Amino acid sequence: MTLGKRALLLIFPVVLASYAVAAAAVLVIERQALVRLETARLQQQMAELDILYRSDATIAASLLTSLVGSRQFMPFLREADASFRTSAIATRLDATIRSLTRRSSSFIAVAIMAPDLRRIYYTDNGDDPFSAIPPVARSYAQEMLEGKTSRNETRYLSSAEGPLIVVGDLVDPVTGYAPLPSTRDRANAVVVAIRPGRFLAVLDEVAAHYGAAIVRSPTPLAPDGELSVTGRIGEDFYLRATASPAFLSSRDAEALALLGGGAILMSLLVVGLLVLLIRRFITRPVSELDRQLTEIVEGRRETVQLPHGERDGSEIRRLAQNVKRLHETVLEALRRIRRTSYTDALTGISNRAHFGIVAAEVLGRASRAGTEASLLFIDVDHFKLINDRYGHEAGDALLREISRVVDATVRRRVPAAGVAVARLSGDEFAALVPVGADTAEGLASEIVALFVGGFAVGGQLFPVGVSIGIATFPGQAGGVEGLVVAADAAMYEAKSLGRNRAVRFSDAIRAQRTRSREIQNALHLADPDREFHLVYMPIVDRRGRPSGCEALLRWTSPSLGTVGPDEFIPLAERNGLFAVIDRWVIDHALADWHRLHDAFGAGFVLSINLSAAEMHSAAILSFLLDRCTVHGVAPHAIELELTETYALENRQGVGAAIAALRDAGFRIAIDDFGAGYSFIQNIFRHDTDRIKLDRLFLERVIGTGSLQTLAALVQLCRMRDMQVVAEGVDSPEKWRRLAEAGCDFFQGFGVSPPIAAERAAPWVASWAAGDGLAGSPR
Amino acid sequence: MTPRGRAAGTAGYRVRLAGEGPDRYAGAQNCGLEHQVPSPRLARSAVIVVALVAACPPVQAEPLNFMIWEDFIDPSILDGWTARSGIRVREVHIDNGDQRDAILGDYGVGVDLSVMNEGSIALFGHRGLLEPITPASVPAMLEYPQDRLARCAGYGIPYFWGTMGILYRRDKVVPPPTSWRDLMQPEERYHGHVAMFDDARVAFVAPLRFLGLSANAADDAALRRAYAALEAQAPAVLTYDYIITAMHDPAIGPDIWLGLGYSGDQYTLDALSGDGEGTWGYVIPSEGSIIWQACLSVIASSGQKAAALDLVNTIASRDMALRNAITLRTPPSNPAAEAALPAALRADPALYPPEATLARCEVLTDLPAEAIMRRRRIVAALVNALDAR
Repeated sequence: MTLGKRALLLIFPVVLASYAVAAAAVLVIERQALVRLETARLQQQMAELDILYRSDATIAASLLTSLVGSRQFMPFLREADASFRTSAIATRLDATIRSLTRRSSSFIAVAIMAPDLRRIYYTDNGDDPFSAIPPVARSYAQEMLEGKTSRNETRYLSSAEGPLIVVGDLVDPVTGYAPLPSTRDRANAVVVAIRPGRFLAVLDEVAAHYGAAIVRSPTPLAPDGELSVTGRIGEDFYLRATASPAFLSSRDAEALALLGGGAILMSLLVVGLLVLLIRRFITRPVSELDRQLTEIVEGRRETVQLPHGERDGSEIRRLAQNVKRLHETVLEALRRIRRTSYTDALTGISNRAHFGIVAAEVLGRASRAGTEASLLFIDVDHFKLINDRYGHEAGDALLREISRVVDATVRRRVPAAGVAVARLSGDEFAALVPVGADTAEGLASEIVALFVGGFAVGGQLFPVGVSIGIATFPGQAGGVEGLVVAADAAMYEAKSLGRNRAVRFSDAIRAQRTRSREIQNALHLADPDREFHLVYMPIVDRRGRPSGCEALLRWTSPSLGTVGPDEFIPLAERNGLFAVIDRWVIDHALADWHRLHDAFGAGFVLSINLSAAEMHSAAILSFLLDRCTVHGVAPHAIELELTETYALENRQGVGAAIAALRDAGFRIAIDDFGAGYSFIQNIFRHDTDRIKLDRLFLERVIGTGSLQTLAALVQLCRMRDMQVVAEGVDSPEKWRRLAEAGCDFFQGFGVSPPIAAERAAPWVASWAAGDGLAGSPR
Repeated sequence: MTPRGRAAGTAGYRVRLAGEGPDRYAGAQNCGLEHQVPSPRLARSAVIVVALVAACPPVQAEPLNFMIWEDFIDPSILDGWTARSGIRVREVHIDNGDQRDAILGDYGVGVDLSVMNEGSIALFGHRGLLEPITPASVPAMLEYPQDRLARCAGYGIPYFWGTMGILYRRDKVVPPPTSWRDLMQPEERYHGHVAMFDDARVAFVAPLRFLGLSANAADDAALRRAYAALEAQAPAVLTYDYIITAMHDPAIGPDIWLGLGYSGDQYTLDALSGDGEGTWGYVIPSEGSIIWQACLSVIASSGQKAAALDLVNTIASRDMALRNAITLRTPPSNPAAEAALPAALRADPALYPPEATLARCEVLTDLPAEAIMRRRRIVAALVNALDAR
């Protein structure tokens, strides 16, 4: 319900009730006043009736007196000759009578009658010249003559023509005076009758107006009813007028209708006025505020406009102000949240989410403008090392500085708007610039150049570089997601090409990516027992005696053919398939152990590669022990190879895991040492049994003539009771040099390529028969 | 026959002394003794002034009071008589026979001689109010034929005779009226231009002859019909005053186009209205009318009966009658004078209608008292109704 309707529903009953109460009070008072007023009015009319009656009665009596006293009267009466009387005398009598009656509009009749009531003279002022003496005048005359009525007594008599006031006299024609009773029989009667017209009109009016019952009586009357008035009329009679009950009730009804109607009308007027005022000054500002808020909610309005005409401090204005303030606070919070959610907390540049939005806008603009845009996917190489070596604070400081420098470089190089620089994750950054691939590559080179010789933060030089992948819109991808994936792939390519470089996304990379995806899919579907098999690469000691071999996994996919371990192992590790594969390798290698031991003889050690990820779980240890038991192999005949990168990680839990494996009797070797940037002292952090030098590392050592350094390293390992295995031994010359450097064991195609387990015994036999590596110490 | 006459202004009696010129109110202003008599016509509130001769100090002898219609005698005749006798004559004017009768009926009125009408002369004469006329007292009587003398009932000498008919303005009423219907049921365009007459005797000539009844009708049935006709005519009536009296009233005079009147009145109307000779016409309606004869009578109670009789004798003599008739252009009752009238007057059909017309005319007789009273009430009702309008 709106405020306006609510106000109406609240106000209307109150106002109506107020007016109804007032009207009821007025009605009660009015009723009493009405009776008083009407009584007074009726009394007034009664008095008027009296006056009117007296007036006409006086006229009649005066006319009679004047007529009888007039000069012509006695000659007229005494004249015996009717013709003469009429012709010569009546004219003057007529004139006298007319002069006496001319001011009266009432009907007046004058009759002169003989003692036998014969007409001697009659006239009236009516419009009928043929009218006769009214019977009441004749009967009045008769009563006078008979002595039943006094002379000169006015009487109110009813006749066929209506009531008449009648008065008469007797005149002796001889004496001209009133007769004595004895001579009454010869007297002439003179009678005047007058119709009291105005009296009767008022009487009719009273009767009609009040519906009054009129009672006439020769004796005084008492009032009879609530509205009843009595009065004396002339000297002759009394009247009582009693208003009918219907009169008062109709007046009551009139008053009720008037007051009721008035109350309703006034209520409507007042309510209308109040509603108008309330709407104007109360509900409209609120409605206005409501409308504005609705518009804000619907997004058609930005801010709240304060209502006009409202004083400071009014509730409406305060409400509006508070709503406005609340709205602005919410807006500010929203801005902050948006900024926070779009900003990388560490570096202050955009995060991945914001990058997605901004990048979409940049691509949208480029798409509309028909221009290109390029994405630089920047990965910091060896950042993990910084965290490990200098701590997280240093790493964070490094990332902040890299962000700042990269951002500044990008914006300096591409000053146009529509540049997005963001930190995507840990040590990955992205820069989207509205330029083509060539310009982007220049920019990437500039960034790479920043890292040549390490990256300095606060005077300290950190040994990090960057690998950058570049992908271009719309040629190489149609959207942000595709662009990121492409640039990411190019970045990996850069990494694989030796880091510290930028690589454009290309068809080759696309093909490689396709290949990786195919391998990944095939790997998911692979049945290990049918598609996997193990081969073993022998390891010999300084004297050329076979001491063990390393189990190597081979995969023959039905769809892809033979897939090298370099291809699929990293994919398996990245996709969580390593656990299944590791367990399959361990199970089958242990199953082959006895055959191999028979071929290699006493002291045989079987090396098995273990994924770094396995080290996070204690389950691998119990699995190993369980399989050893099943296959009847002693743990000390098993050597578990961990990659240098993993094993030397300065991470909690790694040491414990290695210790647990050693405690269970397994030998531990660090594989591919020298492939990374491991510090030499890290080798000795854990207790390990052997260290396997990386093939490329050894080639670098031999190529640079740093064999003495190698000899020192080997010496160091010896001092720590660690045996040193040289990998990639493919020539007698290499064997000799490595042997001179002090390496304890040798492995490589120069010794033997990987062989199947059933081929182990023949190989040992042929190796012992001297088919071994030429130049060996043997 | 009711002689005609006229009063100046409103109805009433006006006194003129012979030798002092017309319209002199001698007695009224100079004597200070006035007797006010209420007019019977209430609405007009006329004040009627009658000078009492006795109250005025006589210069020579008592003047003779001669009650007569206005402009109904050649003043030179009176002047001549006064010169001869040394007695002045005072005209007392009347315009209504009823009024004259009322004056004569009031004992003690100082009128010495009066014009009488044949309808009431016998009543007053038999009553002893009029002096009998004999050849001894009025020798000129011998010049008159018996039939004319009979109509004066032995109490008067024949004076003039004439007819009653319709007076009309020739320039307004076209074509001229020919029937009582033209007066009693006038065309719409004449409404408000009709003058009737409030005399109880002669006013009924028009309705009664219009209805084909006798002008002397006395029964209620005839009078009821006459009243109905008069009531029907009433909306067209401008006034019930005698047309010559009404013509004196500048408020209504110019509006009168049509009226009831006496032969000869047309000349007076021409003079009064100022519209020139021949403006007014007179016609005897085809239904017939009445023939009137005026008589000259001497009042029995007159103190100067001998002088009055001498004056009557002088007026009635041939020479005076002829002079009088020529002046007034009215047929005299003296046969010798009538015979001596100029041919032009004798040829005027308004004065001397054809025999056929005269044959349709009757003579008014004395009416019963009841009829007079009834007629008066009818006239009074009509006047009252007009006044109410």
